[in-house]
Amino acid sequence: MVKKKIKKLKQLLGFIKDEKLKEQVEEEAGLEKEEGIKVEEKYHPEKDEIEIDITGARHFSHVLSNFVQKHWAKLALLLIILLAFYIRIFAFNYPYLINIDSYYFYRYMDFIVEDGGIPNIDPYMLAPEGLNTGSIARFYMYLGAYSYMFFARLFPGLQLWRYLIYFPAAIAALCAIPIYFIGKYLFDKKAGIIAAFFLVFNPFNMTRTLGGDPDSDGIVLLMTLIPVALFLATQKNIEKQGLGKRSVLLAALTGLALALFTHTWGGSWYMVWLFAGFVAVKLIAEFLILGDTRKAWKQNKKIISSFLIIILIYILLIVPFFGVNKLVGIINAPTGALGMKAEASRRFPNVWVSIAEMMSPEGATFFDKINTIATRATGMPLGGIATIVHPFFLAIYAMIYFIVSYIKKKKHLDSLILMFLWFVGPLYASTVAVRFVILLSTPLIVLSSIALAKLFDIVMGKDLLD
Amino acid sequence: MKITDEGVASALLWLVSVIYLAGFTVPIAGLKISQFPLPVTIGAIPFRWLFLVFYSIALFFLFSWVEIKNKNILAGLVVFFSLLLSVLLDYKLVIVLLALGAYFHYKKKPQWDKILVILILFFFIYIPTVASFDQSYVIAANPRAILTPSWWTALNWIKNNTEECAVVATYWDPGHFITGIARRPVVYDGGTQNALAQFNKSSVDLNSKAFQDPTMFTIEGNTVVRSRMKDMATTLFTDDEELAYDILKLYRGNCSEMYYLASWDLIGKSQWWSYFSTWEPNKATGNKYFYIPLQLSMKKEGEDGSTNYVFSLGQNQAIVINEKTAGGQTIMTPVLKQGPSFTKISKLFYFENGKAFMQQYQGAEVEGMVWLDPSKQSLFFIPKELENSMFTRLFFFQGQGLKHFEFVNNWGGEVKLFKVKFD
Repeated sequence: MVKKKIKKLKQLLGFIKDEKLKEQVEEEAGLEKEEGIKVEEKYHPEKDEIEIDITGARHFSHVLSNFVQKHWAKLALLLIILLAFYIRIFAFNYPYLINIDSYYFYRYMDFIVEDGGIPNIDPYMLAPEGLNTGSIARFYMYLGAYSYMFFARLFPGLQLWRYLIYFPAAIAALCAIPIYFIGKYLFDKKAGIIAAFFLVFNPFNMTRTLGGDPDSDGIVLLMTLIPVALFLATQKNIEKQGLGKRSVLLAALTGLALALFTHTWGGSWYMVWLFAGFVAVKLIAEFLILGDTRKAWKQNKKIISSFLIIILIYILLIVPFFGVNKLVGIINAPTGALGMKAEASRRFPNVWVSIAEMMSPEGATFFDKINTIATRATGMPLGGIATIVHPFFLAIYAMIYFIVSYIKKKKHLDSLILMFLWFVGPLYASTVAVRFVILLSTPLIVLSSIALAKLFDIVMGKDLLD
Repeated sequence: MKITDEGVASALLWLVSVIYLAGFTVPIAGLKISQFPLPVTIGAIPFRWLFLVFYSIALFFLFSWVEIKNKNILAGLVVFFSLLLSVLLDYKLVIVLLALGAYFHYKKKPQWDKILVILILFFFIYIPTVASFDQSYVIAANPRAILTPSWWTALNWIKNNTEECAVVATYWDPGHFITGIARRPVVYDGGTQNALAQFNKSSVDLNSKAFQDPTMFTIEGNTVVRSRMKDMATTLFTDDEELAYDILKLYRGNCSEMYYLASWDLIGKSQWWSYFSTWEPNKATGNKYFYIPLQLSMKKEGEDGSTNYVFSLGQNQAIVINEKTAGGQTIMTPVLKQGPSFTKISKLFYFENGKAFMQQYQGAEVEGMVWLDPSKQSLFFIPKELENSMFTRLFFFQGQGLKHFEFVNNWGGEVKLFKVKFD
């Protein structure tokens, strides 16, 4: 095999007319030794050039370099995941779980571990009759319980509460994977890596995903990102290959991920609205651009079909568990969510008015409120010179880039629509109640990462609007 | 991805910044370089070593990358070992300079315009990284538990010393703690704050005090509907023990035991439980009442030999406790100081030589009570609306004089447990 490659290399050297270069290549290839040599060549017909890549196996660092070049994003992602996991657990020093809601999930996971499932009536909640558990979202509880049972086999004696120190940290660290793909699909690998870094080290997310606090914030974040990543993968695949088997599979997986999200968190409805909004806005936008309904329809037929597959799978996985009312609830959810704090026309008081997270953001003016939201979402207040590099403004730069790029080069329309909806919806909701900042932080991170990746490209000499 | 000199330099700077932020103080904020703040170990291995190895591998990958383009491993080695030494010797800032130096070394003819652009890029990446990583590190390094040792002990005591069916009633916040740790039923919790309670009409006593206020229930056919929030808020706010007792009876179930928790955190939440208790549907609002906690700001000896304990309320406002001894007796007088004027407060509760005293002042202009801590370092001003509330009587007075609430235990002054005594 090596000999064959050397023969091929010698043939290829015939193409090199520059003698000095030829000598250099021969020397680097170590032809005099004729062993341990790997030769790769690639012909570029558009330039009529042959690219020769010679790596001596005896040069370990060359092999390593090639490996790093090829897999730098995966390696960076791995480093980010490991550090994100470790930083969440290294300082944990309590003999118990630390947060109130942690014990809700702990108790249900304990039910599953001890009794094999969740009882129909929870005897501890809503005394004296108990809580009917039929409508509770339980995917996270089963995930925690079954993963615990798996690890308890590997580490006999591992207690559930101890496992729950590591579990939320692992879930939060894994969020780096889907957000990497979101960044990659929307822009490039760099954007994905930067987004992964910013997401796992976002102070707002860090507070809610520390080790020993198995509240649902981490899983909600993860289950938000997975459907978006799969949805983008579906759209990308449709762009490349049309609505083939792979696209259908990806759409089905998106529907599955979306359904699992609903089985995890009651607020998952906004993701259904995001996808539906994307398809609707894209159709309308293209109708306005093309000025022809039929053309716009034809152009988006595959995307609409993929959306219908997503929704079909979603319905199939939701209705048997929660009933048709769940779907009605999703349709009504936006008005319901924004009116959660209403007190008028009620028989009894509304507790939501007293929940700190349901308060409107502090600030006398609209801009003060935006500052409060931006600070909570990023841990970085607006103001001073640093404002120009604040993730909130970076996100706006990214949106401007998408708009200009579309106007000038007809690129990034999909990214513009999706990110606009994903960013503006939660931003508006955050002005009503600060708890919705958790929904805002993710698109903010994705957009600001795209802005930084674009800036990097500009510095490297790439086209401004590419 | 095409690897350029600028790309390598930028990536290097970015990586260095991440390493910097991972364990060091922020240079941009002008802070002093501190000791590596990661003393925690994994097993027997200090975290700083793991971290060092972790990033050394990352750097090695990076420099392998540099080598392809320049065949100049020297620059890589210089930075690598300088980083190693810098971390070991605690000269952290040096690494940034060495990283830049290494860049200039391998790029023999630096293009200053590009370097400027790189530094701007670095600035754009560095600032959000500072904000993100540095704060996250602080949060992760100091995880704060909401569950305190007092709560933990109290809940385990409840688990081991009460009947399994015993409902533990209190405000919603610690609900998941009670169900998760003590494994006892609760009236409501963080997942069911707005939940309503439904009772069969025939199973409740409609003549009891729990059904005297029409804003507290509705009847729909054979079902009586109540708000758990309003009920529990009322058990805290009302000054009528029988009303609190009648409400609690509704949630007792068939168990022979029932408990009630009054905890420190409910002092700050009084605005909300008083609001929910007084909430009226036709007004769609309620009234908020606050306990006002004050710390001793000044202790002043008076000319007449008395001592004034000053608890500042803000600018030109304070509660002053005047203490003087006459005829072998200590006389304490609470006054509200507003600018130059002083007005008496109607009640003072204080401790002297381990005994508790309640003093009432006739003709006092300010209604309400001052509850003075035994150490005289802090006090609570309790407005008249909360003065006789069940919470005040349970938490501040350990349930003294109550018929249906028997004090069971107190954990760190933070959690107080009462047994509800049924007829």
